[in-house]
Amino acid sequence: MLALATRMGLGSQAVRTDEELIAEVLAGQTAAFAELASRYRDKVDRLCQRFFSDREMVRDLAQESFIRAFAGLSTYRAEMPFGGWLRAVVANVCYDELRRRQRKPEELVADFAAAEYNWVQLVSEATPEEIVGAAEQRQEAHDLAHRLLDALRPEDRTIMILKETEELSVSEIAQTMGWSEAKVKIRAFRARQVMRKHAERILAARRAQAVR
Amino acid sequence: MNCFEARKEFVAFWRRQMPPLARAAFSEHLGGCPRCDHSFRVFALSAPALHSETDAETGGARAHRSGGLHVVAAPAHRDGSAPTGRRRAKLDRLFSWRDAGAVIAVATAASLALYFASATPRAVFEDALTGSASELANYNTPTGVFGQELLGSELQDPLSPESGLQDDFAG
Repeated sequence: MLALATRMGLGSQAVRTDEELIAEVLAGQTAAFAELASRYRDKVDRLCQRFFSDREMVRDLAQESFIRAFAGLSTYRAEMPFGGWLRAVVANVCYDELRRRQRKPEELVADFAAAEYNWVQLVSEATPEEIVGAAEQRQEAHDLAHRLLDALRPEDRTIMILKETEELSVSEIAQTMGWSEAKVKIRAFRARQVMRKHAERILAARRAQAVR
Repeated sequence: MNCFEARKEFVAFWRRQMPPLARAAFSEHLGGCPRCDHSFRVFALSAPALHSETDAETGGARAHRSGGLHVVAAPAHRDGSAPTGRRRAKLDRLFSWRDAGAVIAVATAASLALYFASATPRAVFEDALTGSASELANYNTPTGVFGQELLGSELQDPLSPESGLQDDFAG
């Protein structure tokens, strides 16, 4: 009986909602935050990885996001899902990191690694199916793509990631980042232009080398 | 499939979310349309960062290929003991500040040591402002004028026999 009750107790713990866990944390049972964090750890890691390719940085940013979420949990309002609120925290942590680094647009064509050069060659010459298949396995494909993202301003990069990977609408991005919808629209348009321009340059440089 | 339809399907094709027939139609269209083909290749350069699975999804087993080598990208953090990544960057910054602080401290100490060890009179200008009338009078003499000490040489009357400059002034 006791075992059954314990099992039932465990069962009821397993189905506790995010809001219940948050209430427990706010009531002083901070251990409940661990369960909350474990629920969202993968999502947080994934979003951080969209911003940065460096694994250590991803881990640190994910950790910082949870710390910031814990510290600001009292500001959470149940009108929006906790996942959305946490995503806003993560996006802002990553955006702050982008701004802190203040990376200038890099000269993409000039400093290819050999592996990246091979990847560009493959993209230039292989069939679409081959490109998709190879991209899944090649780290350099991701490295180069992240360098294309590096060419964007922090705002543009944040918008591109939230729009393309999280598939948020313009209004959702505006709400997440606290920006106007007009700004999000303009920056998204410019970000696409910049990325396309850099990708065109890379392919053009590859073709010019192939002709020589 | 026309160009408009094909370009809408870039992401679905990349994520392998298209049914086989549609996928074949997409490939066929790109094979016959240089503009869509080029656009797809441009898209393919940025797609891995935006539309492919992340390391968290793939388990971090993506490979670096260079030449004939196939090197699995190893986890950057192996033992978890040493501070790495962002924490290491923070420490690096801290150390660089420490170094700068040490250099400034040593330079300041050296300057002060030189200053106090110097045999030449100091605070000449302040003495002139705060000193007695006799001291001020002394500063008007050829050997006590303000600036002589700073220059570190005896001030000579250019017309005195010791200066050896009479010829220059003789005209």
